[in-house]
Amino acid sequence: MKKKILSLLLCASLAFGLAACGSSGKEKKSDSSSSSEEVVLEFPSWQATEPGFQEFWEEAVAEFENRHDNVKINLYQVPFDSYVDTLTTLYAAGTAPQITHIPSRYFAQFSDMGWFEPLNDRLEKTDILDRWSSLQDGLTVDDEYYGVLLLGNGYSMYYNKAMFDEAGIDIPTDIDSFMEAAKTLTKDENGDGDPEVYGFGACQVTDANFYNEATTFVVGMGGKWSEDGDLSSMTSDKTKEAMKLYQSLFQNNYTPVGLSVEQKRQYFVEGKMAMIFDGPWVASLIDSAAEDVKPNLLVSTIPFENVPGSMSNSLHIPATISDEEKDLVWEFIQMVAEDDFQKLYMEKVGSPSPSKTAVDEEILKENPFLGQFVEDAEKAQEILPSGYEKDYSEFTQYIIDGVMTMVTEPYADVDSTLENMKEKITNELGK
Amino acid sequence: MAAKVKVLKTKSERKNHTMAVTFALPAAVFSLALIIYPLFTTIKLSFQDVKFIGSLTDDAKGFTVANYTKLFSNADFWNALGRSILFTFCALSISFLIGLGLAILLNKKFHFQKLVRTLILLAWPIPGVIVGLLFTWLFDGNYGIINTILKSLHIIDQNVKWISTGNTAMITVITATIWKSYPFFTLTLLAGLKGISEDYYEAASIDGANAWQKFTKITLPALQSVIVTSLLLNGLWIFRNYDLVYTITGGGPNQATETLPLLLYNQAFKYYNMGYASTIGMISLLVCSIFVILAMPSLKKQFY
Repeated sequence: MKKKILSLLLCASLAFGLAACGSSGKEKKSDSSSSSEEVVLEFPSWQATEPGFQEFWEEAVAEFENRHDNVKINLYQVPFDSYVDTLTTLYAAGTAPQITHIPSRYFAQFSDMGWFEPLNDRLEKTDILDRWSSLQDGLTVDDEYYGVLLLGNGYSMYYNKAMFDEAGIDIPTDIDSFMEAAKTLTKDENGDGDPEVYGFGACQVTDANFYNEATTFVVGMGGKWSEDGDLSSMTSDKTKEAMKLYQSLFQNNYTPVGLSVEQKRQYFVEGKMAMIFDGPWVASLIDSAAEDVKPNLLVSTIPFENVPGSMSNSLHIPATISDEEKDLVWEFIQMVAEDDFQKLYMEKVGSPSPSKTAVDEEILKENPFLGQFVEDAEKAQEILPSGYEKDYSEFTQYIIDGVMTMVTEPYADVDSTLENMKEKITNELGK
Repeated sequence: MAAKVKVLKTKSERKNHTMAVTFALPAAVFSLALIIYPLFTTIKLSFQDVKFIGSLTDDAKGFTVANYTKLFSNADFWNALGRSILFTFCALSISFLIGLGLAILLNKKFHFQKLVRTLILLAWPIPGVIVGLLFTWLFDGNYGIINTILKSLHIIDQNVKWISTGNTAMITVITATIWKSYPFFTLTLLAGLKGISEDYYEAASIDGANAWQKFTKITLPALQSVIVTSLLLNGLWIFRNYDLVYTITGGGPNQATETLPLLLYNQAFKYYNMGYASTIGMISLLVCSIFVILAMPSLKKQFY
């Protein structure tokens, strides 16, 4: 009998436990729908614990909570590698985080799902569009804005000045001097065929960074993968020329092989490469360089006719949250877009603000690299595939696969590979 | 008659049986719900042209076999399946042999046995992503320590481009997988070895059996069920492994290491082709089921 009672009690407690789990979820929901009770805005970000970004976001959150008595923002870290997957899963499960922060290259894919709130009506009541970089236009679908850009960047050339001084050559300003520098600064001192120091550092792992870097050469040299969905530019002379130049860096051993982007940056900071192309975020890594190397790591414009660049990251409002939450998230976005916060962003992060009015002499003086970043961001030409934004991942995978065959042994022919890539993308994504 | 005897249980046995069922029922229902619901959803999605679950713009509700037709006519799928089988076979067989060898070694008494055992098992609890990053640096084709060691031993004259060449990239991910998975074999087989009575070996010695005969006639038969179970569990883990391969090569270069889980992941989370990805998931499930069916006779012997 005792056993029977015990088993019944255990079952009852299990049922109670399950019921309790269910009811706590409901309570949480009612929290966010009632204006008199505390509202919690979820805010996952891959920058929540990154040096510089962390201080900026924490100050923004604290200020917003100061301005709103009954609102709490739950800022938390999700690693970048799994960030988009996590966010996608949250949206798919109907539990979208109220403050949605995304790498902007995924914007078209997210908006294509109908997940973001249109913002034209809200933006019209502010001066954000007047102050903001033209890269903000990348966050539109059918002339409707669905987000506010936080960082739009150009790619810059980081170089090791000591290596150039030692070799007695100037910092490259065009393609020829770039190739000459890459050749001269690659050094195989023991003659075993494996250079100890490389003239240039490229990444070569199957991921988005590889696409970005290859496209830096294409856009930089005046080519394009696509133009409003038309792929004819993929086999244009300029794109072919860019890919041949890119391929020659690998063929001639001017760059290490098989590097991830993290390895590329690390080796540059360690003084094992003379030049790399990368975004403004590398500046914070330079701070961690050895004291004897650090003063030699400088930044300049990419030595091509165009400055490649892209939208980097942006804030969005989910379409499925309550109106009250939407208003609060919009207030948060507006606050972050204020010039004071944009100045704080530049000060803490060292990256250029999309706000033209936030950049001033004082800030430029404080951060020696910032002037270059601002200049590059202003000139930046988009590296996202025009007309294929909604198929970004699939399109870029075809580019990655094709370009990878050009830069790995036995080094596929550039002209025919580009033709094959064009044909494959036409067949698979047909526009 | 025998069947009748089985049915006629005592009152106390019946009570115990009811109580056992009562205790097990909530957990069983919970587990079934966690398995059946996702399985049902995956089957349903595999017959639909769906971009993504939760999409507010997706209106495809009809059922179709188009995903399966597309999958079976797609060379990328067959290549990925072939790679998965090769990857699983190589990693599983080598890690099993290493695990077995070490288990036999650790079953002997020697100084610092506990320390050595701990060191050997250290790799097992390390997350796949960390192992992936570790091997990325070890096998770096420019400054990696593996090339430095091989060069200093005069095994190679020039750096091997481990991760940027197809065959060597596969060798790299297989090596990393072996390093991660052999401790599981060591652990389970060592437990199995501890259960074999010394009497058998003593009796065999008296009969004049040599070491190889003892191994093949006593050790292996006694370990059979442990071997099958550990091979099955580790085989399923390796076949479904995603994080390690993704971290080291991302499936490249030129899809040389794109196994079935990577193909599935790309379709689901990169291209947002959830219907098509579910079809790949169903085929993966089928392949895994074949592993389980093959192991079933031995599992039945062990557990039932």
